[in-house]
Amino acid sequence: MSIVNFRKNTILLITFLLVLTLSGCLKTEETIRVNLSNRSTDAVNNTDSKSIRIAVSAIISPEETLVYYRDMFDYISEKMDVPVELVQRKTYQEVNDLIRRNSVDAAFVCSLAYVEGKDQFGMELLAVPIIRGEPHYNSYIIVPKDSNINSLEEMKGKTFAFTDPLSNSGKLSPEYMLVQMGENPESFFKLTFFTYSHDKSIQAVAEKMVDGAAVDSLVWDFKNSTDPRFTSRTRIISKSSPYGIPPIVVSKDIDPALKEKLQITLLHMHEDKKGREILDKIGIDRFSKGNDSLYDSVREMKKVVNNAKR
Amino acid sequence: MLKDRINKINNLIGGGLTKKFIVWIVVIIMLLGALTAIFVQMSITKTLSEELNERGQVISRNLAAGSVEFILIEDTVNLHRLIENIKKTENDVRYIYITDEKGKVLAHTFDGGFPGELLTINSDIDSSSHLLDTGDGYVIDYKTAILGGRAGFVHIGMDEASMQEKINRTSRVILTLTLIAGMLGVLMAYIAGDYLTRPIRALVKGTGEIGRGNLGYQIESGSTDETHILSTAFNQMSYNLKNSISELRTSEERYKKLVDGISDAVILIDSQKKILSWNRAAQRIFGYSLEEVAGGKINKLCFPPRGEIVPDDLEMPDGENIFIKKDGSTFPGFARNKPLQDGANTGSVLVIKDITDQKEMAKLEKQLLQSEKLATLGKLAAGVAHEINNPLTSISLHTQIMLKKTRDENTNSRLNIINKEANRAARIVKGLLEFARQSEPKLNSVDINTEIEKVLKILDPQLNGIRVTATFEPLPLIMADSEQIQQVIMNMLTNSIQSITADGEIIIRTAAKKENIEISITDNGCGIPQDNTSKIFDPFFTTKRQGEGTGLGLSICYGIIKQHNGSIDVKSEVGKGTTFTIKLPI
Repeated sequence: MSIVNFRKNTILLITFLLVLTLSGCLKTEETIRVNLSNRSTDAVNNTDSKSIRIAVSAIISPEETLVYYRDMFDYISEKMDVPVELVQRKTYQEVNDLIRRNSVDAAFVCSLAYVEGKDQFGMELLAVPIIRGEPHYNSYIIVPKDSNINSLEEMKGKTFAFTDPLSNSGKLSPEYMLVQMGENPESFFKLTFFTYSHDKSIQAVAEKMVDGAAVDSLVWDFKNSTDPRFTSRTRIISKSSPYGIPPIVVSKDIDPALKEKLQITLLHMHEDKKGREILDKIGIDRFSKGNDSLYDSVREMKKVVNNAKR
Repeated sequence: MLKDRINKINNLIGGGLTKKFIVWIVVIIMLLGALTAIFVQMSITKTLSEELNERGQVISRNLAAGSVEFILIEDTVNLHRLIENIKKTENDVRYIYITDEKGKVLAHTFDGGFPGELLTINSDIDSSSHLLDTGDGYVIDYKTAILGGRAGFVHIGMDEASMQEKINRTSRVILTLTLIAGMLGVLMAYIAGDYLTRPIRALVKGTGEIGRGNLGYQIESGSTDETHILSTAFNQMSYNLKNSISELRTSEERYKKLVDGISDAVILIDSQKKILSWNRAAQRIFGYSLEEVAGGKINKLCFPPRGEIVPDDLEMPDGENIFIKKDGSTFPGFARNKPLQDGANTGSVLVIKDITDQKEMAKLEKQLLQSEKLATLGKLAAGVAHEINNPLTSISLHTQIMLKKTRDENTNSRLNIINKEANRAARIVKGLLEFARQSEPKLNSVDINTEIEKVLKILDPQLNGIRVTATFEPLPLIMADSEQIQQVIMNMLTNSIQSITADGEIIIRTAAKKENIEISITDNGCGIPQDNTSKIFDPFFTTKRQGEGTGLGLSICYGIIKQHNGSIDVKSEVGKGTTFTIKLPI
C-alpha cells in the first residue's frame, strides 16, 4: 500500500510541477469573456444635428489639418456654446459641394475654390486671416534641394505635382506661368499628378518622388518654421506675385444670426488670451472681414488660363 | 533509500527480468517524451505568441497610419475596403474595427452588425493589447490610437486558434513520435532483455537440473562478458559438485560397508537418547527396520529388569544388559557406550554385542567339564570300589563274628563302631558303584506326578513335621526311567529335608510347558552360598558334616537328568531357601 502511495504522491508532485510550469508559460494575461455573436450596434453616422459643422479643405493633409485646427474649433465651440464639428474631404471640389448643399455651415477654402464657389452658387466671404500683416500669400515652385533645376523653364520634360484642381497656388498659379511661357502642363511636363494637399507635395519633392511642385507659401513657411523635416530638403526656385489669402466662407443660405455670431467670434479671437495663444501657434495675426476684390488677381489668372485652354 | 524504492517498484512490476527491463525502458522513454513535448510546446507557444503579438501590433500600427486620412475625410467606403483587404490578406485576423475619438464605430469587418459587448469591454481597457475569451477560442485585441487618439482607434482581433492548432499539431507529432519510440523501445527492450537474460535463464535451468540431482550439468555460454565468467564459474561448480558428491558417496558406501560388516549392533544416538541410525547387524539383532526405530528412544530396546518400567532418561550402563527384540523376546547383550565429541550436541555410539551364544557356550563347556569329570571319576571310583568292597566285606564279617563272641562291653562298643563305619564305607562304595555304573535308563511312559507321589509316600516318615505342599498340573506322559526319576526326586527331597533346620516347608510344583515339563522343589532351608551353586553337582561336594553325606546325591541326579536330555538348575539364597528346577523334554 505504501508503495502505491509513494508512487501516487510522486506522480501528483510531478504533475503539479508540470501544470505550474505550463500555466506559467502559456497564459499569464487575464482573459475577458466577450460574446461576439450578439451583433446589434452598427457603424453610426457621425452626425450631431445641433452642432456647427465647419469644413476644412485639404490645403494641408487631413491629419495635419486636424492638428492645426483642432484648438481653434474647440475655441469656437466654447465661445458659441455649441459643438463644432470638423469636416474634411479629399478634394476642394467636395468641400465646395458641401457648402452648396448646406451640408456644412462654414468652410476654410482655397482662394480659387472661393472664386469658383462664388461664381457657381454665391459662396460668401466670412473672414480672412491676416498673416504677417497681410491678407496675401504666394505660390512657390519648389524642387529637391540638390536639384540642378533653377527655374520653371528648366522643368520641361520633368515630373510635376499639383495640389488640387481647385487650388490656386498649387494648380492655377503654375498653370498661369506656363501659359505665359506659351506652354501647357500636358505638353510641358512628362507627367503630372495631384497630391490633394500642400504638405504632401512638399513631402513628394523632398523624397524626390517628383522633380518639382507648386505649393502654398503659407504652408511651406509654416512648415519650415515649425517642422522643417521636409521643407529643409526642398529649394524654392520661383515665387509668384501675391494672391488673396484662402478665406473662410459660408453658404449664401446660412442663418444670418449664425453667420454674424461666427464672424464676430473669429474677428475678436485675437483679443482674448486664449484665442491669441491659439492664433500664435498657427501663425495667424488675426481674422479680418476681407474683401472680394482681394481675389481679382485670381479671377484674372483663371480667365487667361481658360482662354489658353480653348 | 533509493535502492529500497527501486526494489519496491521492481517488486510491484513483478515478472521476469525482461519485463522489468521493458517497463523501465518504456517509463524512461515516456518521461523523456513528455519532457520533450512539454518543453517544445512551451518554446513553440512562446515563439508563436511573440510572433502573433508582433504581427498584431504591426498590422494595427500600419492600419492606424493608413486609415487616418480615410477617417478624417469620412471616406468610409475606402476605410471598409482597407480593413476588409487586411482581414483577407493577413492570417489569424478575426476582426478589425475602427472607432472615432469618441468611441463610435466607423468601420468593422463583422458580418451583420457589430457586437456591442466588444465595444463596451474594449472601451474600459487602456492597455494596447489584451486577451479575450470569445467562447470560440481566444482572441488578442490590439488597440492602436490614430493621431494619438484624436482621430480614433484601430482594434484588431488576432485569433489564437491557428497558433493553438500549430502547437497542438507539434504536440501530436511529438506524442506520436514518443509512442513510436515507446513501441520501438518495447521491441528493443524485449530483444535486448531476451538477449541479456539468456545466460541467466541458462543458469536458472542449470541450477534446476542440479537441484533435481543432475550433477555435473554444464551450461553453454556464447558471450564474453560477465555472464560468461558466471557461466564458467557455474560449470566449474557443477563439475566440482559432481566429483565431491561422488567421492562422498564412495566414502559413505565404504563406511556403510565397514559398519554393516560389524556383527555387533552399532547404534548412533543423539544427546536426547534418540536413535539416529544403526547398522545392518542392529537391524538383524533387534528385528526392527531403521525407519521404525529412527527418532525413537533407545530405552525401547532395553528390557526392564524385574518388570520395572524403563525410565525415559535411562542411562545405558556399560556391560551386560538384557535387551528386548521386536517380537518381544529378550537376549543378553554386552553394551559399550562411547560419547561422540563433536560440539555441544553430544550424541554417542552404542555398540551392543549379542552374547546369547557365548553364554550358551559357557554353559555347554561347563556341562562338558562336569560330564568328563564324572566319567573319569566313575571309572576311578568303580575300580577303587571294586577293590575296596572285598576288604570291607571281610572287615564287616569278621567284626560281626567278634561281636557275637565278645562279652566285654568296651570292646563290644568299639566293635559296633567298626561295624558301623564299615557299613558306611560299604554304602559309599555302593553309591560309587551306582554312580559309576550310570546305566542307560530303561525308558517307559511315565507320569511324573505319580512318581513324585510314590516318593512322598516313602519319605513321609522322615518329614518330621515339615510341611510339604504339592501342586500338580496335569502332565503329559513322558518317556523316562521311573526308578531313576524316583531316585532323583528322592535325592532332591532328602537334600531339602536335610537343609531345613526348623519349621520347614517344601513346595513341590509341576508344570507342563511347550517343549518340556518342569518340576520345581522349593524349601525354606539354609540355602546355598552363591559361590557354591556351581559346585553342588560336583561329586563328593558336600556342605554336610563328615559322615552325614557322601556328596554324591546331586551328582547322581545330575547324571540321570542329563541322560534324559533334561536340565537341572538351582537358585538359592543363603538363609531363605533353595529352589531346584528340573526340566524334562516331552
